[in-house]
Amino acid sequence: MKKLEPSELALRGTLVIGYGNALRGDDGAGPCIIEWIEQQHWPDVTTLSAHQLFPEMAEEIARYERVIFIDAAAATIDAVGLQPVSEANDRLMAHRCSPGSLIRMARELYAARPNAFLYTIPARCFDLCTNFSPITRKCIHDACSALALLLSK
Amino acid sequence: MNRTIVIDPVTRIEGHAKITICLNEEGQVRDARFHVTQYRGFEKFCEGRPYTEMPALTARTCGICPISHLMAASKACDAILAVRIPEMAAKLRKIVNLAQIIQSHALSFFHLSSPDLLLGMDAPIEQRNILGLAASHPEMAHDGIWLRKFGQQIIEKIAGQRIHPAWTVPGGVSAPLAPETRDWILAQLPEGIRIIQRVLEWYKSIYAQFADEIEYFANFPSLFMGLVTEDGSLEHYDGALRVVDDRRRIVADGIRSSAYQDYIAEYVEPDSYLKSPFFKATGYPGGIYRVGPLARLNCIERTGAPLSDAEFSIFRKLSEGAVLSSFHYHYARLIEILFGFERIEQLLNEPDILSEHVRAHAGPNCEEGVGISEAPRGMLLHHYKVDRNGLITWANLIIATGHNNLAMNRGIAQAAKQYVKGDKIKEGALNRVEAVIRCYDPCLSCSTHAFGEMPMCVQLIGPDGSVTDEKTRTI
Repeated sequence: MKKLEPSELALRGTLVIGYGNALRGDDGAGPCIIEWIEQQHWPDVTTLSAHQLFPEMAEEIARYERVIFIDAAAATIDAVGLQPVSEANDRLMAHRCSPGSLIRMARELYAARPNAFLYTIPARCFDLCTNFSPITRKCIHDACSALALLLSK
Repeated sequence: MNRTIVIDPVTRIEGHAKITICLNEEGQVRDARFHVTQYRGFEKFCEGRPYTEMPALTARTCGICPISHLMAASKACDAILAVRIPEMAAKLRKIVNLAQIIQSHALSFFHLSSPDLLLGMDAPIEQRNILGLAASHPEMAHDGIWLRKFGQQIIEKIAGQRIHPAWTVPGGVSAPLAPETRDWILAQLPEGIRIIQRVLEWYKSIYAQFADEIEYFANFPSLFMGLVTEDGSLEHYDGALRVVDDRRRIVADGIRSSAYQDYIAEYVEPDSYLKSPFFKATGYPGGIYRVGPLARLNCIERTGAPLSDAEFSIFRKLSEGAVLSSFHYHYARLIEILFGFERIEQLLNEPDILSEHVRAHAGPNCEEGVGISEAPRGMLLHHYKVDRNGLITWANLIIATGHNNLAMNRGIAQAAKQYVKGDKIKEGALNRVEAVIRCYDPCLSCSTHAFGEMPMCVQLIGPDGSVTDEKTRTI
């Protein structure tokens, strides 16, 4: 693992990052979707599953042309949300980041500007369990269908 | 008019804390206190659980140093089993423990503290973070990210995942080292060594600029405590505890984990969930001692690895006795990162490191077990009692930051007296008081077993207890 230099950025392919706590009910939606994507073996698609986002991910993100974040969030809506991710100026935590802060770090540290998107899976329950609530389970399925259209080309 | 300044919570540390600064009639600092304001209760809710669950349970105390808890918990469980774990299991545990120390020290130095050093303690707060660092010192930012990432990758490749791996178990570890993992780590180590040596050279060239902070950042005589090997070398997993005084005279040595209660007692503070351990022979509060990177380097005669030994010999020139200024925790962390890389390389080149015999199996044979390991922030102790069925009946966790509680209090008071002047709360003054705490790199999430964010609120409290002024920093 050589330290990444800006001139060495490959800028190809897609990185999909699913994050959340798989032991906290619906919060495990992101890692669950990552497990499914890994089974599809799509070309030029790299997956990353994590409890949460870290500053170190900025280096990984900088290597890709496109980055897709997948996270569960408490919401009353019943559909998967999809939005572009723009740079954020939120306060950086040493061991916690937002997608926008990572995109900003990728640019400021590695001069990389990947296209970034966030899939938000609506969550109802964050109890200590490994089950999904019905709406989250449905939205996981919907997100997988959408990602199949996007990533299987 | 007497006033009290309260910093609540403190920024760029792990966990939730408050500082109270009391001013006298002349506006001078009379006293300062460090309070931890959250409680979590691990020691209580672990009661009734099988001892075999303790590594996994206590690892959830923290997301920054879960490996440390895995090590101390597993050693306590090894003692309950009354087994000597396979030699290669101990070496693999050491490698993962060192990797965590590397990544945690990288986090502390590059993300939490170097913005103060590079951008200045009076720089605007919104710039004093890794992105501010990237704008002005991009190579330093890259180095910090690389070091932390590498340390985490070692943990992930050996133990299965970066956070809360289920690999360290009572009796050893659950899986041996794969040859390709060993080879991958060995291939990356030279880059890590180059990076930390470069950072050390930079640090040695600039730290003299902080003569004022070195003088007033928790610079006072105290005892120091840490694990050492039989020949007095640096150790983070095995060995026995040593205590030295401010002249580096050995006060107690060869302390086995099971005997810790003969040397350490805990005082419950009325204004904090963080207890105050103290050296029993000296009593409370005189038995103040420090743990962590600075303490470890004060306790040893050598590191035991050539490159870090060379740096250690330069470090030793800071003082004829113990190095007392807590500002030099930063320096000590960098030396420990270098040692970590060297020691990992030594261990990976052991002839039997790929052995598949990595676990001893037994049932509970003792009703009590104590495990001690060195966490990034200092000595970590887990003490369990179990019934005949192996269910936990009692647990005591003494965390590194807890050991440093008395020292942090004294350090804050010293810094506050130096930097807080008059009736205006200047950002730079408050940041220096906070920076004293950051030298210790406290993990308050562990030390009270608490969980929290890191916003900050400063309050001025008058002699009658009323709030006369308030400042708030939010996330």
